[in-house]
Amino acid sequence: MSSTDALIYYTVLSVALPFILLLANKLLASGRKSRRKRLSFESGQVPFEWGETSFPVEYFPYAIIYVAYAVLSVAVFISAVAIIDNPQSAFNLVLLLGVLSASSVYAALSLKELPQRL
Amino acid sequence: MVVPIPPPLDQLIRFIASEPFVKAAIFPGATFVAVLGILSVWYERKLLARVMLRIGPFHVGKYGGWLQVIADAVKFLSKEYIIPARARRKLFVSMPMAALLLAALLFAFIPFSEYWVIYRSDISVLLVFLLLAVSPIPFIVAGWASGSKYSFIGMIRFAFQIFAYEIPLFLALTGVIIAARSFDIVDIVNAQAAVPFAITQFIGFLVFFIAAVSEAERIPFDLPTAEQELVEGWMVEYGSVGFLTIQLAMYTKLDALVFFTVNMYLGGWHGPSLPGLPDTVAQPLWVFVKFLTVLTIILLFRGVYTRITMRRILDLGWRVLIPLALINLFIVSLTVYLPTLVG
Repeated sequence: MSSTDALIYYTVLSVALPFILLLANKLLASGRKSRRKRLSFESGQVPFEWGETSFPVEYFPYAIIYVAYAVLSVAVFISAVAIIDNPQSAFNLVLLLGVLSASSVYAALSLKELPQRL
Repeated sequence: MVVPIPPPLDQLIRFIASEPFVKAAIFPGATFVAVLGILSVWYERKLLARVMLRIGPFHVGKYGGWLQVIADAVKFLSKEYIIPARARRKLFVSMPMAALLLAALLFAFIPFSEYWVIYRSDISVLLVFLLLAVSPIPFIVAGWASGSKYSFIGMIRFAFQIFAYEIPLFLALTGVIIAARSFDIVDIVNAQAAVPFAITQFIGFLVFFIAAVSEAERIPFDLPTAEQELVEGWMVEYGSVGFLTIQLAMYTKLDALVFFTVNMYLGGWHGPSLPGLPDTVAQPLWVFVKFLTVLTIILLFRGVYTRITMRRILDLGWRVLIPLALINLFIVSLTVYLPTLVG
């Protein structure tokens, strides 16, 4: 119970800390409102609308590959948990990890360099 | 004549002196986390100054300018908090606060000895990993909520970096969990009483360490916030208390990651016994010695390395660390499985 109490107190203090900083800023800071101050940073240029600009986002497919790898790593993790209780039944996992390791090494070596667009 | 203490005051004193409050508010709780965050900034500045043959902070504070960080914090607090016209106001203000909260919560589950831990859980590794996985989200949202192209580009870079390094981090941790056969960090540290996992799982340690440095956005992996070239990337619009909160969150997260590394791979509080010191003091002392060593190495990267390009950052994550993490996991599972065949 004391451990749970400590966690509750600590969480309350952690939540309070940013609010205390914000309150201190309200009390200490002074300034006059100005439209110019609220302009976004544009390297000294006059800011222009988002609609007038476009830029390519490289490596975008890797966001999708991330999802696949995340699912895979969770599956490996859940399988690995089985070893904790029953190490005798680990053969399938050893096999899976062996195949995954070999295929990922092969993929890494054959790719030579990470392509920006797949 | 003894003056009796009024009951409400007596209750208050008992509450403040109680074990849960001391752990939550003093050590290893809020005061410790805040002071450590501030001292880390000071230590980094002094260390980098030595590397660059400078003196570093000197004038404010009697001993090595240690009050300079406090002076800087007061300066940030006394500046006007400007919210850009195009920013999503609520998210812009709340995300740095969320980042600091998540970073601070990491310390709730990180033990400094079997006794000095705020909350001991059977699944503390998973809780820490959950917080580590969620902690980049406020930064990503903050970059988007700033309503600036520079912040947006920095945020995209940050997101891709996190994508590339989170999986190796997770896979490396899985190796430790299998070897220790527990999700409790205290059990994992005790499993390293004889030999730390940094030796038995050297590949995993290497993968975890590199991924942790990337997670903390330290040089050479600080491309999303490169202050000289990319004007602080996703946090370019933040100033005043917003910037201060983000900096505090980042240093708190760095400290938590270093303590986590010490516990997971460097044997935590295990070390040669110190004569004359009880375990309750000696054990956290060993953790601090190891913490300071690892922190110094990470901070020195900033003095001796240049930041690498985005292509190389992603290349290292996807093409090198993930295969290495899988190989490490394969070796660990073999070391668990093969003895069962002999038995």
